[in-house]
Amino acid sequence: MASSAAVAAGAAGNFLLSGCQPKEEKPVADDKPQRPLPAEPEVTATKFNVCNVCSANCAMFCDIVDGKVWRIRGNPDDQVCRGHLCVKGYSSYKMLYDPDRLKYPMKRTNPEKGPGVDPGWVKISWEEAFQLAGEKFNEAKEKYGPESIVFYTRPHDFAVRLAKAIGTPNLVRHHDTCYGSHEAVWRATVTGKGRPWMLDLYNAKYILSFGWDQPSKGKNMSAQGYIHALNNGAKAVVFNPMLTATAALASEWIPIKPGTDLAVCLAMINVIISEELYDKDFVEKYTEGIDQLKAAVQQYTPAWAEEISEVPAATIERVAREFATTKPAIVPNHKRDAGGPLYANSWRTSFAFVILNALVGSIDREGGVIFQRTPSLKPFDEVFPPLEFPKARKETIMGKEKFPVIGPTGKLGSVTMAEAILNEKPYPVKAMFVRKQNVLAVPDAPRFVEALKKLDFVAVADILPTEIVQMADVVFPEPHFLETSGMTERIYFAFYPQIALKDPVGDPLYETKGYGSIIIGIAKAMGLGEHFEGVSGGKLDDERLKALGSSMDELKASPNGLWSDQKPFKPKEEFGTASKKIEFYSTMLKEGGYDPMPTWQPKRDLPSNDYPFYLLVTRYAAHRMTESQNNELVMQVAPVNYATLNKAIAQQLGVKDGDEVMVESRVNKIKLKARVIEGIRPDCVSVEHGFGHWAKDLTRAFGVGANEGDLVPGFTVEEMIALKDPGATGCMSDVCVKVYKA
Amino acid sequence: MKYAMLIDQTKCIGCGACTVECKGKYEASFGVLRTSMIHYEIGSYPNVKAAFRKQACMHCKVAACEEICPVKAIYRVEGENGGMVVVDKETCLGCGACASACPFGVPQVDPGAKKMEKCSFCAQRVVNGKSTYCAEACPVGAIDFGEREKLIAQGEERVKALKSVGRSKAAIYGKDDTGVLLIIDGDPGNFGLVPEGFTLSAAGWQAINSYGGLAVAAALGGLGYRLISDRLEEVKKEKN
Repeated sequence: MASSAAVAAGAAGNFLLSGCQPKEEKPVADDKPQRPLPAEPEVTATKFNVCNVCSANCAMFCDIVDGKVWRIRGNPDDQVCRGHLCVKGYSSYKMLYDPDRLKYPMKRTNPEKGPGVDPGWVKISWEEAFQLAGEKFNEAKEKYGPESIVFYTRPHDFAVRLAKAIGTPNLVRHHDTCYGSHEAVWRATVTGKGRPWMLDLYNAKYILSFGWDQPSKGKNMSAQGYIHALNNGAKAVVFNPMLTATAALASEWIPIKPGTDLAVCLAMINVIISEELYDKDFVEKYTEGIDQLKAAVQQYTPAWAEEISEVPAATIERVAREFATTKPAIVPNHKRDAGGPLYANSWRTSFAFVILNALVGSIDREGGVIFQRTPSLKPFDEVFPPLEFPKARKETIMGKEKFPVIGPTGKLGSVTMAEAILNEKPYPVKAMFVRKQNVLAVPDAPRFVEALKKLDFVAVADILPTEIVQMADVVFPEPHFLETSGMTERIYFAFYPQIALKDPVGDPLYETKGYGSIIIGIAKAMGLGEHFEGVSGGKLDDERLKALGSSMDELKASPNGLWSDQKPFKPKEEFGTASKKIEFYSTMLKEGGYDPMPTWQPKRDLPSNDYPFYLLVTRYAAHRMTESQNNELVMQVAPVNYATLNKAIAQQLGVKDGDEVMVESRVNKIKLKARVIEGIRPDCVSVEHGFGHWAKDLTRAFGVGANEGDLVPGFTVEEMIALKDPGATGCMSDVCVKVYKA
Repeated sequence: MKYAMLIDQTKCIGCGACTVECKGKYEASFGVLRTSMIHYEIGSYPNVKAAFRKQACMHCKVAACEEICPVKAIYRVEGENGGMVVVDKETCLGCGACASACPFGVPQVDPGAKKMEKCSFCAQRVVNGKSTYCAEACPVGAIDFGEREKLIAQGEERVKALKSVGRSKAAIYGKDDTGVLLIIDGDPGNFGLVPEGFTLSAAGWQAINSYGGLAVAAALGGLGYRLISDRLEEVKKEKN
C-alpha cells in the first residue's frame, strides 16, 4: 500500500504530533498550476483519541481546523487499527456536530408515551434532573423493593456499583442479541471465563467461514486481516446464504441453507476424525474427549449433511480435507456469524467451531483464534474499595439464576426483558435506567415499547434523541466520545498489552456530563453518595496506569498516544476448564443440564406455506447498529435499508427492483423497498439492520426504512429455558417470513 | 500524469470509507459524491460473482468533459505533479454538458451550488507530493496512490498472481487511457466500463450517452446547446 507519496504524507502527520512543523513541500515555481487550486486547510492541532463507535477502540489522530475536527486518521502505531480506520470511524465526527444532539437535561411533561407522541420536553438543570431521578428511584425502591429498578446498560464499573448500592440484581445486558452463544460455549469448553477476541488472520492460510462476515460489515481489524490473508495467498471458503463482500472476495462461496451450518460442521468433524487428518500432537496434549467425540459424530456423514444443508457431500469432504491439511487454518468467529445468537442451534454451531479449530491446532496458536493479551488493569473495587452493599434478591427478571453457564457472567436478559416486565415475572418492575441501548435493538421492538409504557419511571443517558429517549421521563445528555478524556485498554486483536490515550478535541459543545458523573449524581440524589466517596474516572485511569509502572502524565507525553508492552507471543499451554484442557465433552455443559457435545438440532422456525422465506439480517459497513442513521456522512453511503430478494423469486412475486414490499412474520410486518439481486438464495430475504427510527427528533433518520427486529419474536424466560441454550440467546434471525408486494 | 491511482476490485470490501472521507473534505450538497461505490454482479444464481467498483473521475488522457466544456472550466493541472482533470468552480456554469459527454457517467451538477462536482484527484495535495484522501483512508489497501509506472508494474504483478490462482479474467484496466487504473476480474462491461482504447470525441460520447447513438446531430445541436444556453440565461439572471 505504501507509495512514496503516501509515506511522505504520513510522516508529515507524525511531525505535527511531535510538535514539529511539517515540512512544506511547495511546488516548483515553474510547475505552478495555471489556475489556483483550492487551498488545503491548515491543521492547527492534532489530538489523540480512541474510537468509541464499536468496541475495537481504534486509536485515532484527530486533525483540528478552525477549532473543529476536520479529519480523523488511524494511528499507525496502534496494533488494532494499524494506521487505518473503518468507514464508521472516519465519519464519527459528524455525530459530534449533529444538530439533533441532546444538549441539556430534559424532563417529560406529557405522561402519555409511545411512537408519535410528543414527550413535551422541558429543559431542566442538572440538579433538577438528578433530584427527579433520585426521588423516583427511591420511591420505586421503597414501595416495591430495590429489584423493581432495572439497569439496561452496557457493562460499566460505576453503574454496577450503583446497582449494588441500590440493592437490585437486575442488570439487563444485550449480549443475548450479540455474542452470548460464543461466550457460553468458550466458557464451558475452553476458558472457564469468557470468549476470545482475536483472529490471527494475518498468518492464516485457510479461512473457513460459516456466516462470519466481518469484512462486509467493515469491522476494521477483521477486514484488514482478511484482505491481508488473501493477498498472502490464503484460501477462503465462505458458507453464507448471501453473496456478501466477504463471500465475493473469497476463493469459494457456498450458498448454504440458513441455520444448517451445524450439520456441515459436524460432517466435517466426522471426516477429519475418521480420516485421521487432525493435529494429533495438539489434540493429545491440549484436548479431552476425542474418543467420545469420534463416536458421537459417526452418524453425521457428509451425505446426511447434504440432505439438510443442500451442500454437496463431495464439497463437504473436500473442504474438510483442505481445512485439515492446510496450515494454519481457522474458523473465524466474532458475533452474528452462524455460531452467534442467530438460531436456536447457534450455540451448537459455535461449539463445532471450537472443535474444528482445536482439531487443526488453531486455538491460541499462530494463524488461529487467539486470546487477547490485554494489560492486567487493577479492578475498580481494588482502586475504590466498596462499602457493604444491601443484600440483593436472588431472583432476577433475566432469570440469571436459572442459566448455570451464562448466568454467572450476567450477560443476558435483553430478549426476555419485555415479557418479564409485561407479565410482572417474577415480580413487578417499576423503574429503569438506560444507557447506550435502544428500543430498536431488541426482538419485537413494539412489544418492548409496550413494556416501557408500563413503567412508572424511565431515565435515559444518551447522546442523541433516540427512540428510547422518547420513552424517557428524564434525559441525561452525554458528551460525544471525541469530547471525552481518559484512556482505553483494547481487547480486540490485542497481540500484546497496549493502552491508548483519549484527549478531547475541544471544549464540550453542550451542557453534557460524562457517564461516571451521571451515575454519581444519581447516587448522591438517592442518598447513596457514600459508595462513590473519592471515586472518579480520572483517578481510576491514573491508579491503573501507576500499577503498570506508568502514569497519565507519561501517557499524555507519549509521542504516539500509546502505552505498549510489546511482549512476544507465547502460546497457552493450559486452558481454564476444570481439566485445564479444551473439552470436546464439556463437563460444565453436562452439569448445567445441556448437551455436553454438539449434537444436531434444527433451527427453531422452518419455512411453511404461510411463511416461506428465511429472514437474513445483514449490516451495512457504514452503519453502527441503530446509532448512525442520523449521521449525514454515513447516510451518504447507506441511505436506506432494503428487502433483498433473489431475481428469480422476485419475478415470481411480480416484484421489481425498487418496488415496495411487505415482509411479514407471525409477530409483525414491515414495509421496505425491494432490492433484487442474483447473489442470494431464492428462499431468503435479507434486511439490513439499524433503520426504522420513529423518533421525530432524529431528523435525518426519522421514517427511513424499517426495523427488521420487529419481525423477530421475543420470549419469556421459561421459553428461553425450554430452548436448552446455555447462552440463553435471542434467535435473532430464527424466524420465517412472507414477502408480498405492498 | 506522473501519479496514478490503482484501485483493486479484488481487494475492495465496498465499505465506503473512501466515500465518506472524500465527502467530508469537499463541500457539496447531500447526495452529490465525488466518489461512490457501485455493486456489480456477474452471472446468475448460484453461479454468480460480485465486486464493487469505486465510481469516480478516471482522469482520462483524452477527456471528453474537458473538450466539451463551453467555458473551459474543466482543465488539466500543469506541472511535474499535474495532469489531473479538474474543474475551475469560478468559471463553471453548471450546465452539465460534461456529464452528458463523460464515458463513465461521473460528473454531477450540484443542485445547491449549481456547479459541477467530480473527483479532482486531490490536486491541491498531489501537486504538493501528498496522496489522495481516499487512498490514505482505505483500510484494506484497495486504493494505491503513487507513480504511474510503478503502479502499472505493481498492477501487472497482481494480475499475474490472480491468474495463478485460476482467476483467468483478471486484468488491469486503463493502462493506456486513464489516470485511474483498475484491477478487475471480468470484462470491463461487467463493471459498467467502456471498452479499453476508447478514443471517441466528446460529441460522440454525448450522442451515445443521451440518445443511444441514434441522433448525433440532434444531440449536438439540440440537447448540448439547450443545456448551455439555459444555464447562461440563469447565470445572467443571478448576476442581475
